[in-house]
Amino acid sequence: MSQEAVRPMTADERAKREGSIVCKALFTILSDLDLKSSDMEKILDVSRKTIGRWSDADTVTFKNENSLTKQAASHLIGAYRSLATIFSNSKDRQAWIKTEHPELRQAPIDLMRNSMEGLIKVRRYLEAAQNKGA
Amino acid sequence: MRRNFSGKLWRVENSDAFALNDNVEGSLEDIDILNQFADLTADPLITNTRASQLYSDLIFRHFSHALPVPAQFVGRFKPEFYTRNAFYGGLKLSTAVYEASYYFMKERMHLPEATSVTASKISFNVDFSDPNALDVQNHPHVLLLTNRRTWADSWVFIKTVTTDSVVYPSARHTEGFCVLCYEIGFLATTTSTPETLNFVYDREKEMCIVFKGRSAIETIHWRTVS
Repeated sequence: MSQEAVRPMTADERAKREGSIVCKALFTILSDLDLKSSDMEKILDVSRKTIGRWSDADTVTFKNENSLTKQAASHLIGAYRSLATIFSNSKDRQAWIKTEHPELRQAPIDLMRNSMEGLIKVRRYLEAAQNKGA
Repeated sequence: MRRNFSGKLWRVENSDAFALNDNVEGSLEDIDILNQFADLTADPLITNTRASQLYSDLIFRHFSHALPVPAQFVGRFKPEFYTRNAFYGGLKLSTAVYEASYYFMKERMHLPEATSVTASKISFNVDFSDPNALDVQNHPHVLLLTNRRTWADSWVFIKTVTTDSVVYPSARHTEGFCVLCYEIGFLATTTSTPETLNFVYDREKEMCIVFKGRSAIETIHWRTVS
């Protein structure tokens, strides 16, 4: 039986792994929330061609560590994480994201599509809602 | 009024341990990388402290938000830019259920009819003790401090006193009491074993029924908590 020790990932290996799982998450979100490709293009501020390239390669790449697209992808996954905590059902998540919200005063998807500020506002709202209790 | 106060604090929370695991296919290591990716743009958490190792995550998570308090984590007696985190709990399970039912219904009332309206949550309790707790139930402005629609008066008030905990009447559960604890050292390090509660929203009747196993333990109308 092999006793080979588990080798820690190199930075390059980790970046590849991150690109692959982030890609999987983004396309899961697209399908789970029943979004259109154009919604994702707007939220991440990328072209249809870029989305297609990510889909074909099963990985995402960003221009640099601080790119706005990378930040938007991080916010989108963070928002989805909180949404999935509050609503265990995909239909509920779709309804929440597409229905005008009484406090946000718009459908969350519209806020997310329109600007990075809107995306952050939705994420912050969901993080707060997720923690309400007691 | 100051008093020596001890008891069990009950909480009902969303169970978030598997939010991404349940929906994105990947190994645990992949999901860990994904959580770290999402956290790149989140407010940083306080994690590397003795308390983080000593306390159950169900307790410590309430003390892990970076300070001063960011806008999304304000609450009653916890204004924005306040310099202390806090743990909220009800003195009875039913009080914690009423408090949680308000937020449960609030995020569902505006949704279209076709959606399903159930959610699983966890309940647990933790022992609390403060020899010098601030009890505001007989405060002349208690109705303002526990106003259902605004936390503003509680924010003004808390800036005028020095305390590690506040005992106050629940805004959502008549005759129920809540405790807010700013000092993690006044809480036990572990909680009771979390139990699952199922919340079901009846849109037509604007009420929420809470089940423990197959038994309905509470029926709560929106008008009684909103």
